[in-house]
Amino acid sequence: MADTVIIHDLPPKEAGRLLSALPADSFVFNALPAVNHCMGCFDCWTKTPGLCVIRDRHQELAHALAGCGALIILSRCVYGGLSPAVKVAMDRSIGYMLPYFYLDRKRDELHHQPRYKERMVLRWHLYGEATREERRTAEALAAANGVNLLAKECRVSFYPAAGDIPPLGGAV
Amino acid sequence: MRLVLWNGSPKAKGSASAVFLDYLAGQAGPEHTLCRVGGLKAPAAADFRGADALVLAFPLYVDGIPGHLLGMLEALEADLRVLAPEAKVYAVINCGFFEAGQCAHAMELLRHWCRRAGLCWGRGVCIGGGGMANAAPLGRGGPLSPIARALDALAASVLSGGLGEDLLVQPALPRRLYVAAAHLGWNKTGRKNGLSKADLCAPLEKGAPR
Repeated sequence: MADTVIIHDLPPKEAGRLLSALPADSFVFNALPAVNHCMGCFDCWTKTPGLCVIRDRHQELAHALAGCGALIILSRCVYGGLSPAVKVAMDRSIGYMLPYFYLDRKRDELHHQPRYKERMVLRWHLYGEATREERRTAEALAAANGVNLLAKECRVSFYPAAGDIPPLGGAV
Repeated sequence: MRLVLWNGSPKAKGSASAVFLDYLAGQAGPEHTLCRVGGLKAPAAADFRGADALVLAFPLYVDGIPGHLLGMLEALEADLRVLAPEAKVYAVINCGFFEAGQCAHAMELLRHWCRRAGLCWGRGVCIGGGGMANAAPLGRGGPLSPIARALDALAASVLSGGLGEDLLVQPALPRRLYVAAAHLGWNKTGRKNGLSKADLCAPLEKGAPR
């Protein structure tokens, strides 16, 4: 899949195994060690549009997400959601959307208007022990993320451990 | 009762979460002991020792719990099981979307945390239109009165150690007015920063930062 962004919190050994055969135009963001967290200032909407004002390596991720074709998240499953480090990376990425709302009439909900015309494929690969209820939450949460990111497709997979995730190749 | 009020917003001041926690704190009589924690500093495990109630207020971030707060919750999971085994957990989650229901996933995540930490879920309030928390007084009358009523119900549950149904509330005004006010607000802040609406909508350059 062209122009793929990968955000992960994998142990180094698993990252090497899983991410070695990616297409050349992929961008890999290791969420560990965690980057600075969002401060709730909204400057990424009103001061430096699209880009968080905190100057750290997250800025590379923001530029990679610009108009990307796919966002693949590989994360430890925590309470039915992403791990803290991966979540911090996502929290810092709201500049991907605009501050302005639109009304999603099908869901009767407000969502943010898109900054980019391209529509991504969103994949969550969650690893680690999770209860049935947590998996259900994760599926609903990923779907909600898909709606908010205006993804054209969203899918979640669960694995008992990072070592059980199959390598990501050309068809991530 | 010993109540721990935890502000999970990363904002140093002006957070909606602080407004809601202040309102709840105002309802606790002198017979209750209040411990305020949160902000950028992770609470110490000892802050929760012997707590009867933990009231956690935070903003919705990307449909979930803010990452920094999630990390703090995970780090405290084992300690709380020992230090505050009797504590009931109450939540006030607010979002900038108008629909309170968009906070429901974050509430579920918190309930899963409760189970993992061996704590009892008390009750939660999901608040839509959180951007209005500082725009109008929180009390009887006015657009925030539904929120005040929900917080009154939450306070009654907290102060009696009771459980209750989760509540979804939003300001009493038409959604289209909320949207119009929000858009005017973004445009105004952009102009203060010397940016037009077109500037705010510009795409980032693809690739590495220059």
